[in-house]
Amino acid sequence: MLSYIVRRFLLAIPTVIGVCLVTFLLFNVFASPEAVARKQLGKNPTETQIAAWVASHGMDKPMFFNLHREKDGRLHPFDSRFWNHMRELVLFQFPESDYLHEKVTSLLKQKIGPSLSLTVPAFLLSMIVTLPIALFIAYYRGTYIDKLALFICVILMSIAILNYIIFGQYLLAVVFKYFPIYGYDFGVGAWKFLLLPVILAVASGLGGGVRFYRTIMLNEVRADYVRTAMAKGVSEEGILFKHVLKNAMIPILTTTVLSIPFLITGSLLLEIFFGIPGMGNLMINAINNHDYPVIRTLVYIYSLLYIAGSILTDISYTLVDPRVSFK
Amino acid sequence: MDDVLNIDNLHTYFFTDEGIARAVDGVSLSIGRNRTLGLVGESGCGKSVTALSVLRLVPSPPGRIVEGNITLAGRQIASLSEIEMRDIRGRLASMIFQEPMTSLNAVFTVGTQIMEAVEIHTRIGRNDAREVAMEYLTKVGIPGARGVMSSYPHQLSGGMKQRVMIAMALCLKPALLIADEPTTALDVTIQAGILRLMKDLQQDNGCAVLLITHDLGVVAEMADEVAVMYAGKIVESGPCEAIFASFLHPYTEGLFKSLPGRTERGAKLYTITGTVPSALKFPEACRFHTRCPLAIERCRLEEPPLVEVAVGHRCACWVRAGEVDRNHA
Amino acid sequence: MTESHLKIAIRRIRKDRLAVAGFLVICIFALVACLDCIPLPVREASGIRWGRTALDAAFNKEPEKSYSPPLADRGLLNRKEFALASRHLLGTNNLGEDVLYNGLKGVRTAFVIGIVPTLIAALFAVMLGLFAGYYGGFIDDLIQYVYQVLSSIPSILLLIAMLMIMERGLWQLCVALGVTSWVGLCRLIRGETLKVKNMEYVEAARALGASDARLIFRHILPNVMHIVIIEITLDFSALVMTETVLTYIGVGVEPGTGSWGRMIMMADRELANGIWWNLSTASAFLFILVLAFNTFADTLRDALDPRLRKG
Repeated sequence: MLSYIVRRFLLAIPTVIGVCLVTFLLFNVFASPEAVARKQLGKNPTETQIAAWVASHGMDKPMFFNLHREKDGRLHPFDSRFWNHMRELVLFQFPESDYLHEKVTSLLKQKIGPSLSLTVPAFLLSMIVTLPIALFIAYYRGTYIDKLALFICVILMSIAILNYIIFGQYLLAVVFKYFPIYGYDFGVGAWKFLLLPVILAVASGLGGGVRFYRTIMLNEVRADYVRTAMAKGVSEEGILFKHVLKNAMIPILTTTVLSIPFLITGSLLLEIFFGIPGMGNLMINAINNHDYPVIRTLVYIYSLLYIAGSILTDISYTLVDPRVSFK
Repeated sequence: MDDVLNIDNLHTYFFTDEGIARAVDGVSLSIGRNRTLGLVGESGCGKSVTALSVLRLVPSPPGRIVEGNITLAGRQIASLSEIEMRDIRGRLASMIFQEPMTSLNAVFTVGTQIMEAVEIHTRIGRNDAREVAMEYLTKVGIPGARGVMSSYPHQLSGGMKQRVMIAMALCLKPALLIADEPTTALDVTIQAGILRLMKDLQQDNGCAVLLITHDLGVVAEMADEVAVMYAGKIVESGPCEAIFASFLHPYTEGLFKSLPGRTERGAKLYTITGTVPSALKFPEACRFHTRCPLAIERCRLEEPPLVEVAVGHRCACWVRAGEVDRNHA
Repeated sequence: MTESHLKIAIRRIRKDRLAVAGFLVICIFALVACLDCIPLPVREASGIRWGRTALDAAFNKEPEKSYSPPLADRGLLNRKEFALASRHLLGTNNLGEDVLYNGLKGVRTAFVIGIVPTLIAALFAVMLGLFAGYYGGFIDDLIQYVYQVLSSIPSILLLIAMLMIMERGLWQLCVALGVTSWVGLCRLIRGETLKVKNMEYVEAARALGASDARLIFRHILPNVMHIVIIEITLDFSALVMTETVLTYIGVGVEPGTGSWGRMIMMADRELANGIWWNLSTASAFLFILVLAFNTFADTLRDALDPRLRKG
């Protein structure tokens, strides 16, 4: 088992390197440093200002190999944009934010907590609510309950998440004043600020989630082993809750595990609307302020999380499905 | 002797978007204790649906038993509630299917699945259920039953999986075993073993067997009686020797002539012209007339009845059997 | 997809009344979008000016001074009422623009965003998926590596990153969306190619001496097209919704292009002031179009699904 995990990590390395390459291309090749400097420096920067900005960011160095000799005659061939970029990411020596003048690493430490405090409860609550509903509908498959539920799901899915948030916030916080509108409290007091966002997160995902789980379960119900179980005399409840559920858990679990890394990335929209100072907020501010170091780093980190997530998924596959082994 | 299974004028239809598929359109048959009836025909003739109808396992939104009586060990199947039906399935009558690969649940061990059958229908405890399961695994010829109990289906070969299915089907000693193409998905070399096993266990149990197949070789091995189905109806039926020795219906003749063994070396293989009609649109009158080399005008106009031409031997054909029972014993 | 399969699919779709209703709604919206595509020249002192569309011609309203509720005869500017120049079915926004007009202008954008990215993605996906599935070996490995890397980067981020680098604009948005979403489709097409590659009719064609190109394009491609069609209809709603989110964040279409996302963005603080019609119009247009596509796409997918085809 351990060797399997190690092997998967090793196999992931080329992908990680690929991600670094892509971010390099994106932020160094497709965007010229002068253009970035211009955006950063605001109104009408002078040539000197631009040059100074570019130099301070190391963007004036050659792209791949530095063949200039220093004043003392030494050669630093790897002091180029490409290798600096790679070193920065692979060795986790993240740069400083252009806008906030803080190392990205310390920014991350501050922001992960609030993001998690929103996404983890939303995730758990979502599972607790949608799975039983999907099971219920699967039990009544083919009947009017099923058709009605499916119809409702499609309607719920067709409401844009922006609408859920805007109308939800307006009705429940402003009009009915059940919840605070905006803000965050570090520590234990956070819960009252989190209630509404969590509820809205679950509500907006309800339609899609129920439909997704229902599809998985109905796929299983059509399988041959269900026919065998029925021929044995197993009851409808037994078939659903024992046979189908256990098989359905395989795809359900794997999609769930895959989404765990995204819990850390936070929900962009919810954080903006409810003023939760998490990773999503960090990202949005970086975008609005053209804070490239932050964006670069975040793209890299999110990719790492995704790759970690897919390794986790593969591992959970081997744990849950007896047909899959560590080969 | 009393029949274990008696099907009388069964009609099972599927109500689909594209029309009504009359998969079983007036089938009657009966099987006695310790007897095997082979239900033969090409795919699409309705044999599987007949079998599923006995256990009321026909997928119910599109399918429905529209008419007919099924009597199983004295019980009228049509009038039973779902709970009573569940009690019958697996205990009074059980069924094994064609694809052992997918018919077993991949996430449960073999032992769990066999024990499930026992635990549903009896009150015996877990340990006794385990004993029963192991006993039957041994009976079906699986060596190392204890180890197999804790294996998963994918760890077994096709033949072993089918033996497990048989064990699961017979562990409660049902009066009727329905086998839907049990050997079709298996290697030819394994087939003989499975068939022999089924025959032996039938002797032990004394159960009736409804064997569904398209393979005449299998029928020859296993069946006491044969019923040939075409397009939802039985076109010929009778004792195995009689049918094999002196078949009458042109379709049965076609099936026999298509066997490679019956063709001379170097000669062209015989095939029945045309294709099996879809259940949505069966031909009028005699359903085989579109493919029959002997078809006469009457075949296109009127459906021939099943008449008894010899003891227990029935055939539905204007040309070969006529309309009057020749056997008045 | 053969002729008869298409006919069966159409028949199945026709049976589902909701899907047919959805299709009609889509057609109505499409009509509006088409109207907005027909350019009409305007004769001015400086010469002929393009930029006005048939839709603009049908909706010839001058902007008012500021807000007014639907069907009102008076507007509100700095808490003072003012008379309105014409009737506005759904009111006017803070710039005095007719809200119904803004909503209708957003239809073309929605259709472009909903369809073009998938077409762009399909271009990459079909090419690469077909080659990867057909040739296997090193080409397959290479293509799989490429999309493994790309799919590791969360698409929202890749999208935003690309948009920050490019100029703002509808077509840039389409390209960015297309480039970030071809991976999923590529996987599907590669999988389907692998399945189809080993089917008998392909073997038969190969035995008859057909070249690779002929095999790929004449035999395999038609049989994976249904995936592309389904994907286009399925992705439509997601793309349209993504555009609203992106515009809201600030990386969407440029100002001046009709966009429901822009309407929502400008309007969301208005609720507190009791101004609901701007937001509601944009939300309603979005909801109806997305709902129509969702219903239709579901039925289309079921109708084209080879597994559900009977005998």
